[in-house]
Amino acid sequence: MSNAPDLRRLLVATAKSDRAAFRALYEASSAKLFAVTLRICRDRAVAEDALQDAFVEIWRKAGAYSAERGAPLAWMAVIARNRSIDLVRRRGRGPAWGGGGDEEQALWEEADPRALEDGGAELMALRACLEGLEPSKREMILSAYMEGYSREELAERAKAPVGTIKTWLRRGLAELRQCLGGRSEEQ
Amino acid sequence: MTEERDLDAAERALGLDPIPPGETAEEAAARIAWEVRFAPLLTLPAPVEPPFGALEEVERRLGLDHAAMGAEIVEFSSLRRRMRGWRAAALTSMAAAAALALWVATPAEAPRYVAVVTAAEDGRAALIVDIDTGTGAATVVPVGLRAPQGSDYELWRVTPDGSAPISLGVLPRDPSLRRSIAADPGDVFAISLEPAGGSPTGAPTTAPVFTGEVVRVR
Repeated sequence: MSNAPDLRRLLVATAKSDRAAFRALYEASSAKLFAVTLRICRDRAVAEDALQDAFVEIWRKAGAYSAERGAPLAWMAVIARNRSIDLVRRRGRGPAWGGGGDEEQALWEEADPRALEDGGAELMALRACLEGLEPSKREMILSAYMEGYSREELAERAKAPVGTIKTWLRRGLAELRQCLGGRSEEQ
Repeated sequence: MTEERDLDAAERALGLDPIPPGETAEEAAARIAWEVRFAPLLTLPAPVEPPFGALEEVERRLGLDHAAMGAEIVEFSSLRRRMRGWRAAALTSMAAAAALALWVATPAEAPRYVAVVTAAEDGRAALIVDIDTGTGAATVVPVGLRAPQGSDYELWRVTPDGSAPISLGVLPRDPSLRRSIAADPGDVFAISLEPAGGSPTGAPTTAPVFTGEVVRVR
């Protein structure tokens, strides 16, 4: 968890409207968040807009961050992802790169080693459970999450009816839930 | 919570379904639990340096930009006086800019501005800013600019009307970055040496180390 305490401290200071902390937070995390928005938007200009939207929201919501929301970088990455999806669903997005599923394989092969380390046991468990899924379900879940694909876009890519995609995704999620121990029931 | 409702929450966490306006606290907790599970995946892709200036745009949108900073403005007005003493450097800039114009000359429609930002002491170029007013795109190319450990160079736009310098951001270490920069001929780009992360006050804390006037090349 090399950088986690630092980001946490910066988020806390940002919540108190500390502009220098916000700048430092940006410097420390923007390249990771830009990787998130670029992956979804696939256009640098749109991805930059999504990044800006994300940091506007991070400034405003920093006070809502708590450790239960996960690591600070992951929490910010979720905001970047959600703002990216909002933008691409409004404006459309650039053409897909690579064939279905290739990028998901590359995700692990090209993973930032520090992120693997920082993700800890939770990430290892998720990875193991994802790998236990049928490849088609795994790729679909990862494409929905990492690329922000809608069911309709997934259906188009897989050349399958939307209803089928919905069923596959839901079954995949049910298997993941069982594999991960259905922890949300404890919450 | 039943499995079916938890899976509904998972679908919302994945963005497959929108979050309903009437989401209950229990549904929100289930959705957030899924978000937290998946979120570490988002940190896996290798970092990609965002375009230069995105932070400044965020600050502008949040109303955190650097206008009206009181005391610092006074300090920078002395800087503006000193800038008059840098005409020689500006002339060097213009010569360099004219040379640059030869290779940037393309079928011209919109005006194109260039600033060669040079060291006050020896006229050594530190940064070239090339602005295409047609597309609004600016290319900022640092030339051998390396801030000492624990500090950063920050780029400022100084307009001739005497208003406070506008921060254009901390100069990244990347060799060439594009962003949208507004400037007019006669403006001066100035670079100050600041604590790491940039000026904590929003105004330059030191006298400029490098300056360059914006000139029109087409």
